Order: sequence, then structure tokens, then C-alpha cells
Amino acid sequence: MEQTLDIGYLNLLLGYLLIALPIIIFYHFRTGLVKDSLIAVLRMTLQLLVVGVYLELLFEYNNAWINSLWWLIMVVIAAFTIIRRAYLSLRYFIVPLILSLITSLAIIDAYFLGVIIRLDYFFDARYFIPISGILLGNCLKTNILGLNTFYQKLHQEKIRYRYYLANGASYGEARRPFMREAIRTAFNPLIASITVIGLISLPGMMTGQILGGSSPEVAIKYQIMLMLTILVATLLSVVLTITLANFFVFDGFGNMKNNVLKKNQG
Amino acid sequence: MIEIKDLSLWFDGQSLYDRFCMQVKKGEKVTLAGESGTGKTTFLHLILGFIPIQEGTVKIMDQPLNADNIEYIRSNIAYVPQELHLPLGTAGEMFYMPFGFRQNRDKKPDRKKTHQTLEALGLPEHLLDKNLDEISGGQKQRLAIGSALLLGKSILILDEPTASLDGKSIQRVALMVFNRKDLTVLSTSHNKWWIEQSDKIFNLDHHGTNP
Repeated sequence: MEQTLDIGYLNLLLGYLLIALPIIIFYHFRTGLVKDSLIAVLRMTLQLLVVGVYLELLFEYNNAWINSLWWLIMVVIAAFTIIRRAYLSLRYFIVPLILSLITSLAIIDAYFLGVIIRLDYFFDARYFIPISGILLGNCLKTNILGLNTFYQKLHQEKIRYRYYLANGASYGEARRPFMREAIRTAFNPLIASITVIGLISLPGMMTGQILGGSSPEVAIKYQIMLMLTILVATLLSVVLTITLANFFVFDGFGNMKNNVLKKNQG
Repeated sequence: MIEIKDLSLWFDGQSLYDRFCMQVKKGEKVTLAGESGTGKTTFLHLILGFIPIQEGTVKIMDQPLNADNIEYIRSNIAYVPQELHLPLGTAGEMFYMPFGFRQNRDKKPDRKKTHQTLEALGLPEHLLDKNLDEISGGQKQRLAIGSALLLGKSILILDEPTASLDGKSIQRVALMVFNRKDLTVLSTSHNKWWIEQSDKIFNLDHHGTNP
């Protein structure tokens, strides 16, 4: 297998010069994004350096317990990030989110790694960690969009929700239109990206595999499976999170509790 | 039908109702009057279980208003808010929407009944084919009232049914609503004529004291 060309640290520094352009544009238009973008780049660098060291260790030990622990840590971090970015209350959403992410990820990981790839060693870090990471990254995006849409709309369009309830709708019937809108908002971008994949975008994993020396044929097979599993895992996690969270979020009269949404939205 | 005893409610530290009492018998038409901001809509929301009772008791159809009974209570009510924005295509979709709920499916009106109701409300039948953004607020309100009447519930709650209507339309709606002997109606209104047609009037201007 042909080795991927390494990037020297000096060359990596040269790469950082590229961000001068967005900084100039952000500054020119007074977007207020200069500080945020610099912090984001700094955070990305530090996080990836730490993860790089950690992944080296994970790959070296390749132990089921350590790999599972890392998987769990990724789930918990994703759950906290979703709650923060969707402006939701930690109190009502942390348990449903962690449970739904664990459930959807476990089912799809088991199917992908156990049934499709048929790994001899299920927890093999080379497959288990990156594939779970990609699935989780996509769950993060769709959950932020889905949860934010569902609960914000319920809050902003209270009159509509109340009209349904007061004219004979069950709780499920009254919330179904909001669920439909949340799913549409969350999944339109994903479905659009699946539609044009290969035409206007070459996905990261496929590119990585090809750079890593895999044949395009193998890379494409992985990518097809990945897109299918992303669609299923993300949908499962959004629907499951909302279903579970609704047990805590509504009072006995079907009203959304006052402190479900964070008030200090920018 | 509706029994309220010593109801008190505070909103943002201010008293909205102070030991308010109300008794509505079956078939009575009751209107809540009062200036804007006196809590008329809040009162309707309270009856519908959308705002918690802070003090006092509310009984609807002999059932205390609580989490255990709310589904039963709401199943006997039809409600039309003052302004309604539904993300639907046509006026027809809006009109028939409540009949899509499991509880109301057997009440979906046939063409004849729909035609009669629309005619009585002064609405042409072809209005149902129009896009919702092509019809006026008053037409929307009358459609929602017609649909609520066809649900055949025991209690009809109307929030400012006269707000977007002209004099003739108000009379048409009043004729349909007030002439139904078995139907208990609780509404809010600023319209003098509508208020005068009611059996009972409650003025909320002074923390809910009877006129």
C-alpha cells in the first residue's frame, strides 16, 4: 500500500497563512467574527493535537474497554454540545440525548461493523473510532437543527399548538406537525448532500481512504455504506431524543414547561 | 357547565383576578368584557388548561380542572383563537383540519352540511379552494368558527370572534352561535352588540367583578 505523503510542520505553518484572507474579509465588513474565528482555529488545532496523541495510544493498545470509553466520551461531549447549540435546558435534555445517541449509535455501529464489514474484532480502533466519530458528527448537526426547530416552533407558535389541543387533538397529534417541520429542517441539508455526493463534493472519508492508499472502488463502497448509516443513525437519534425528552418537557396539561428553552439567545 | 370559585391570578406581580367567581349553566351564552390587557384571553387559556390555576377552583362539566381530567374536558370543547396562522395550503384544508384528529373523524361534515354552514356564515363554497394567503382575516375567522360549530362539542370558546368582522358578519356569526340552545358559549368581545346578545356578561376591568 502506498504511504500518504506527510505534511512537514513548517509546511503546516504555511497552511495557516491561508486564514489571513478570511480574517481580512471579516474585519473589512465589521462582522465581529475575527475573534471567534481565531479562537475556533486555535481550539481546532489544540483539540486535534490532543486527539492525535490520544488516537495514537488508542491504536497502539486497541483495547475494547478503552475504545468503548472513548466512544462514550464522544457521546457525552456531543450531547452537551447539542444542548448548548440548540439553546435547550441541560436539565431536561441531557439524559434523553445521551440515551438516544447511545442507542442509535450502538445499533448502527453493530450493523455497519458487525454485519456489513464483518470485523473479526468488533472494537478495532481503526474502524470503530472513526466510523462512530463520523456518525456522531452528523448526529450532532441534525440534532441541533431538529431539536431547535421542534421546541422553538412549539414556543413561538403556541397559539397553533393550543388550537390543536383545544379542538380534540391528542398530545401526539398536536405535536406531529411540529415534528414534521423539525425533521424537514434537520434532514433537508443531509438529503441534499446525499443527492449531489460525488458530483459536486467528494466526502472526507472517501478522500481520506484514497489518500491513505485504498482503491477508489473500496473507498466508494465504504462511502455508500456510510451515507446510508448516517441517514439512519441521525434520523433515529433525532426522533428518539424528542420522544424521550417529551416525557420531561411537558406538564400534565400538555404545556411546554417555561424553562425548557434558554432565554439568552443571541 | 362551568363553575369558578374564588379564582385569583397574578401575572408579573400584578393581580389579574381577585377571588373571581362565575357560574355558567348548560346552553348559556357568556361574554367576558373589559379593556385590552384585563386578562380576557388569559382567562380562556386558563379554562382550557394552558395556564395553571394559582388559587381557587375551576370545574368544567362537573370535573375539576386538573391534569387527570384535562383530556376529557378538552374533548368537550371547541376553541377558536383570535388570530390563527396554520401552515396549510388552502382554506379547505384549514376548515377540515380539526376533523383529521382521531376524536373528530366521525364528525367530518358532508358536502351539504358544509355548504349550509358556509352559507349561513356568508362564505361562498368556492372559498375552500382558495389559498389561505388569498383570504381575509375575517373569512379565516368565520371558517374557523364554522369548523368549530360542526365539531358538535358541548362548549364553544371564542376569543374575540368579532375582532375582524364587519357588522353584518357579526350578526351572521351571532345568529349561528347564539341560536344553538344546547351549546354553551364562552366568548370575549369588545363589540357592544355581541355583548348585548349574551345571557351573562362578566367585566374583567376591575379584577373580575360582575357588572
